[in-house]
Amino acid sequence: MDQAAAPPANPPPGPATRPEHAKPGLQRLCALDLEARPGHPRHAKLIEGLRRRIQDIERHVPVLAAPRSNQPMPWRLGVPGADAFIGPSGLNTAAVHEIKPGTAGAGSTAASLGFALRLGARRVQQLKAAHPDCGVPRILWCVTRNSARETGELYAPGLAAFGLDPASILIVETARTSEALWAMEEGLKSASLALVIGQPGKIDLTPARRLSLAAEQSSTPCLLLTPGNSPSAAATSTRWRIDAATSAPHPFDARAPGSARITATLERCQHHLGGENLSFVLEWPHGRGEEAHRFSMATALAHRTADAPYARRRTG
Amino acid sequence: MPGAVPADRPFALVESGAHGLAITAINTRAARDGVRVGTSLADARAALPDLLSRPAEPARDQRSLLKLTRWLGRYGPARNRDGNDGIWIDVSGVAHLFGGEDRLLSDLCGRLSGFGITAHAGLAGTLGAAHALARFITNHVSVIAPPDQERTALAALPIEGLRLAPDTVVLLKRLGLRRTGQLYDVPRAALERRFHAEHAAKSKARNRASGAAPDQAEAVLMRLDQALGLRPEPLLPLGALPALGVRRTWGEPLTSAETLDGEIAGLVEELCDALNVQALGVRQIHLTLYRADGTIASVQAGFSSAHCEAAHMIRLLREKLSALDAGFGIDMAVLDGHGAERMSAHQTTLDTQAGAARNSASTLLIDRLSNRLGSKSIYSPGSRASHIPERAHCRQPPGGTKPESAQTSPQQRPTPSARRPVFLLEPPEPMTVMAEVPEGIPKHFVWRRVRHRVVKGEGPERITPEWWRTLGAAAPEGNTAQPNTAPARDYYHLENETGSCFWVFRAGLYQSADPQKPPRWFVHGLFG
Repeated sequence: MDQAAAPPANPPPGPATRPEHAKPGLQRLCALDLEARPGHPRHAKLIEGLRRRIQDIERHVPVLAAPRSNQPMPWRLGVPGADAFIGPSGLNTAAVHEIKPGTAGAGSTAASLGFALRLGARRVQQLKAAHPDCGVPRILWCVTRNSARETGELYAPGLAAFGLDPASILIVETARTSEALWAMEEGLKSASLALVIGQPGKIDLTPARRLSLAAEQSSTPCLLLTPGNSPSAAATSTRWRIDAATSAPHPFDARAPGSARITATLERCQHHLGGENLSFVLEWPHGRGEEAHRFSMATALAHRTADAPYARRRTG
Repeated sequence: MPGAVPADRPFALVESGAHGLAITAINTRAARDGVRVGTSLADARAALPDLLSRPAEPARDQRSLLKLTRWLGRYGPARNRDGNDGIWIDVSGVAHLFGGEDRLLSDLCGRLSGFGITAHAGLAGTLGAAHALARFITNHVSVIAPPDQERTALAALPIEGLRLAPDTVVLLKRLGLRRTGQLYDVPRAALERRFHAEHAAKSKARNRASGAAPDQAEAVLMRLDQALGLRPEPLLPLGALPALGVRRTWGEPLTSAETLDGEIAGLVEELCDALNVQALGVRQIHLTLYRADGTIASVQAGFSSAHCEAAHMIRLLREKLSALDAGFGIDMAVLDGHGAERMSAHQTTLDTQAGAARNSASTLLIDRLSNRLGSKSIYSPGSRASHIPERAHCRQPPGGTKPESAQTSPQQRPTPSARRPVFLLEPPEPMTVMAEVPEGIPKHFVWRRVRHRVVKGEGPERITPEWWRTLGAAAPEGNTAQPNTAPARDYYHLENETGSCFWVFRAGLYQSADPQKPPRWFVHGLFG
């Protein structure tokens, strides 16, 4: 393009470069507008204008985008308060989301894994609603043997309470962190999965970035479960800190545990890069049927500043 | 071999026998100097003082023979060891790849002598004839018996060529039968009779009863018939025979990874074309690379379902080829397909396109993961019909394009009314219960050295062992009333002060417990 266009008014190059089908003697001219190339101020101005218009449309008429049938249904928690905070398009389905347990101990880790599974169930519901004839969306669960020892294996009879089909979950158990990361990346790159959930142990910045790029390219979301005391992986769309919370009262027995509740703190959210954390208690009703498999808000939202010292307890 | 022996010095391998060290193998120089296999080392040393000797290592010889047998797969997929010092190869339909039988044998012998192996080759219609030709025609390196000419080819060979037991050979020689050809004319009944007579004389002389004569006569006739192709001889090849195989040879050994990569891709496409013609798919592919120095490298890849797509096979092989060492160069590659299954052509368009593509992509993903990490490390959680929690859970292989069809229907599965944890600790981890309430919910417990205070609890849910499983098990000695069974378990769902939920059980009933052995408590699962 640059060769032919160098000075736009120049005569065409000699007959040696002329295409074979061209008649001899017929002059051919090529004119290119150099100003339309990307990166040029005029171009940027145009894009900026368009962006502003889209923002205006989104701000004033948000209803327009929602009822369109070909619009993909967003991946949301199903709790209006929290979803409003996350953003209108829900959780980013082409990014990595990090989930950390609030405290050391198997109970807190199990709660954060449970949160990941519930998000997975929501994702499967979303995909099934968007493409009803698309077959069974699969979830890849990559775990190192050490992590699996802490909380045990996924138990098929228990998965029913989450609304997940055990056969749709592929578990990859590896000896090393590097293998688990490789499996996660392959799963993301294959673009055939609903979700990749990984529990690779501590993770460095480079593998986290690789996962994030793979998620972006294939539009497959990834939930990264990292130990509570490890440094946060950068390049994640959201970061959650999950802890178990006292369960809801049982409808018939005051002494028995009721529906499971978790305290979820949204520590980082790309849509909402403010300085404050959002903390809320989510409840996942125990029961069967499609209606049961969604979150509900148990207590009001609590905003906290990002630099508030995190309470460290050592519990199970 | 530690410290190579110069070829111009007589050398023998020795093994300790009943009469001291006996020679088991010699080199050509020693043979020229008159040393014979089987004589004692002391006798041979007396005649030839500078004879070198080393202890024989039969186990190592066997290993090298096996290695060589594997490498000889380049001349035919069916091959195996023949005794301790031979190898047979089934070259049926292979010779044209080398330009004829004589070219095949000269290629084979040339390569073996290049490795320093003195080999004689025989090629005939039967293993028996080929065996005899290779061992008893000493003036040629390789001998070929034309088709259906085994009878004439064997006639002049000594009787030892028939793979008979040593004492049978001695007996035949005593009968004056020294050449194989002499056996052709002996009537079968007469042969047996003569064996009988010889045996009777021998057993009378040694005062011993013997019934081996008919067996020996039968063995001679069987071996003769097998050598002449009158009776079939089953051959057991080394390794499983492939359903389909393709091969490529290169005049110049390949050393560069890029060239090899391209050639392997071509080979895979050849195999897939051959599979497509027959409408077959394979579950496994074995790629064997023959290095120029007589070693082989092999790469295998498996699929979760029968496959005949070249791109996927190439991708799986390529991942493993990168770790391969070409050594002195690779001059031949054989790609075998195993586990062939008939492929039904399936429609990929006008269907739910996105779903089909997604399913096939996830099948490819499963193949890639299981080829790299091992097929055992990738699974789906499955359920079985049982009330025992750990028995109700199993690992089932992933794959199958429709996950829901692989499962039993919900009616067949027991649906426990009580809640089940989402994580199961297997085996259950012991915990200590403080402040135990008889038949009640414990107030405190210690698990993994952390003390938990129970705030809420539900239970017990009693799960008794499945008695039908212990029916066959023998009751312990002297206690027929109580068979050897696992104790019943009482499961509780406990919640601690932070809200973490545990699924714990007490093994054994509280009231029936022995005061010395209180019932033990275990954590069996975690609720997410």
